[in-house]
Amino acid sequence: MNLILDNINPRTIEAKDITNSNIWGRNLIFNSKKNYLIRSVSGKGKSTLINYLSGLRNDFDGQLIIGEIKSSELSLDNWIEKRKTEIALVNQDLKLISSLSVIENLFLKNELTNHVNDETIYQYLKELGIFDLKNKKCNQLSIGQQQRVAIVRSLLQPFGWILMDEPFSHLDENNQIIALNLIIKVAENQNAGVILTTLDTNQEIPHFKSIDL
Amino acid sequence: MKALDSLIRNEQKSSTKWISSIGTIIGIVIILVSIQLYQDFKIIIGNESSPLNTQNQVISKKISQLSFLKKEIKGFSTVEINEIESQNNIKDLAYFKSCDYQVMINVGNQKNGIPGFFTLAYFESIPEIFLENNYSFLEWDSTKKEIPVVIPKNYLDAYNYGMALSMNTPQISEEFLKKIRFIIQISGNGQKAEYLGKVTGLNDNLNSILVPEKFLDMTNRKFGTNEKQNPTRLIAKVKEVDNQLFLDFLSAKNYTLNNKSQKINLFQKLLGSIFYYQFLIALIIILQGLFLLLFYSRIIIQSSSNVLKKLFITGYGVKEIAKSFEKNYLKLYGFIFTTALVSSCIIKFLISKGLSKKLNLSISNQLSLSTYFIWVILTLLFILFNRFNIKRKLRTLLNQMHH
Repeated sequence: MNLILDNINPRTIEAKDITNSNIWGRNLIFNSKKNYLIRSVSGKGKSTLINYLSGLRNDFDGQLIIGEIKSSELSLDNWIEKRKTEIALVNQDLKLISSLSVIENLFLKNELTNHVNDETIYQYLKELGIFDLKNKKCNQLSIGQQQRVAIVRSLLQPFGWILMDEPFSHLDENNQIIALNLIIKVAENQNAGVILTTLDTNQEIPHFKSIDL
Repeated sequence: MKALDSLIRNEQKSSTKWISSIGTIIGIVIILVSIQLYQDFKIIIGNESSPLNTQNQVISKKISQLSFLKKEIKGFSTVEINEIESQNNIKDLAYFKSCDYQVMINVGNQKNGIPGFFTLAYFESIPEIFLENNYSFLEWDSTKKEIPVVIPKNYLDAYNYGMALSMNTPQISEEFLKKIRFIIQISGNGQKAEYLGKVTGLNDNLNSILVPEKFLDMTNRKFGTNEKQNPTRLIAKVKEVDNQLFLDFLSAKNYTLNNKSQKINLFQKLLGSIFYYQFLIALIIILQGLFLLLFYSRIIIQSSSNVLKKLFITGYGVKEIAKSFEKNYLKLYGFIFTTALVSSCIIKFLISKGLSKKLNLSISNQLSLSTYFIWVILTLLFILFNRFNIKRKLRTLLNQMHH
């Protein structure tokens, strides 16, 4: 399922930022066999792009094509179904439910998709070093810990794309590598593409195509 | 979906829920009990042995001031009787047969200590099916010496509370009256005869002195002029005592019902109005409870909007979330409607017991099937309204999220 951006111009971003962008106002294809790293400083529209691609916003001109369907033809219910079965998502503000524990947040997602067994969830938590925190309420965790919970949650579903908006902003380098490896492994298993955004305009990730927004 | 159910459950802690639930329970109890009592009332007045039964109604023509001047006796012609008989509300119709001779009644003498008096009287008869009791009329034949007679109850009252005092004679009970034998003197057609009479019953519905039809026919043949006269009073068995169409027909024709029927009809109308308003008030209470509960669920959805939006982003749809809300509400509605039903059953039991004891009426202690049916309908209505309300509110929230 390729993602095609056909001359997309966000209505909320200044014209000069659109002119200098490698994504806005261009014809671009995100190939589902590849991984992408979207780099830019703040305010250029990284979150906007992730929100467009996940159907959370549609305030743009131009055309976005998901697979072979125009995004304008998708209803809100269609988008919800896509987020459940085709597009995994880690938002910048993570969208964890703070009143629930780590494991409750994860079960909440997995009960919906019924995608993995409990053992796999525990395995992911162990790999990211947050297994011992599983019964803690999310509002008692640091941002870095919450980011790792959100990453695990995004893996508990089938997907063709995994979209991640600055998912490592509060992780040290070691934890970034561990998390990235897990994401790539799961994505490869599902033949899915990865789109990551980052504030670091010089960052490079092996096997990821970097695009400056 | 345990995790979702638990999340939704935790979002719903509010005293509003309990206040609106109690209000709704009260409303449902009032409506169920009102409907049940109305049904009971209908059964009581429809029951032939009931004191409120007016299915036998006496119809006569209104007597005007002109009637006296014209020296007329207002009777029903055959055409008029046929017209009444053709009314849908009529099950059976007959007319009062009158005696066509002079009757004198001689009660009491010095020997048995009963105050003696001598009075002019009249006899009438109606077919036995219209009698509320047998009064030994069926058993009478020309070989029997004693003639069973039914007199209006107010005759005894008039004696006991008026005549007995003015004449300084003892009051007599109904049982004692039935033991007294009196002489019936009949004259007419140039002949005279004496019979022995006994009171076999007192009637407070038919203002008439009734004797067996066979006796009246026999004596009319012997002492009467045999001139055919139009009957002045008809007796009808009706299907519905408060059938408005029939009452309108009688009124249009200037016919009247006997006093008791009129009073009972008025009483029924009054009671019907009371039930109607009680039903209306209960409906308002229920609607208030329903709207409070609907309002409450909207508040909950609004106050949980942050969590719900996160669920939409995670991939939960309106259907899944609504289902979880409904599951929670089903428990609440289960509590409300079960409590209301149990309370109604208890109230009905107590009312039936009280009525049976005080008014000697036999009423079932249980709610009727139709009341249960109304309960089921109300429950389903609440569930459907709530389902619609939740889905609508969730969809509004989803739309807001994308604009």
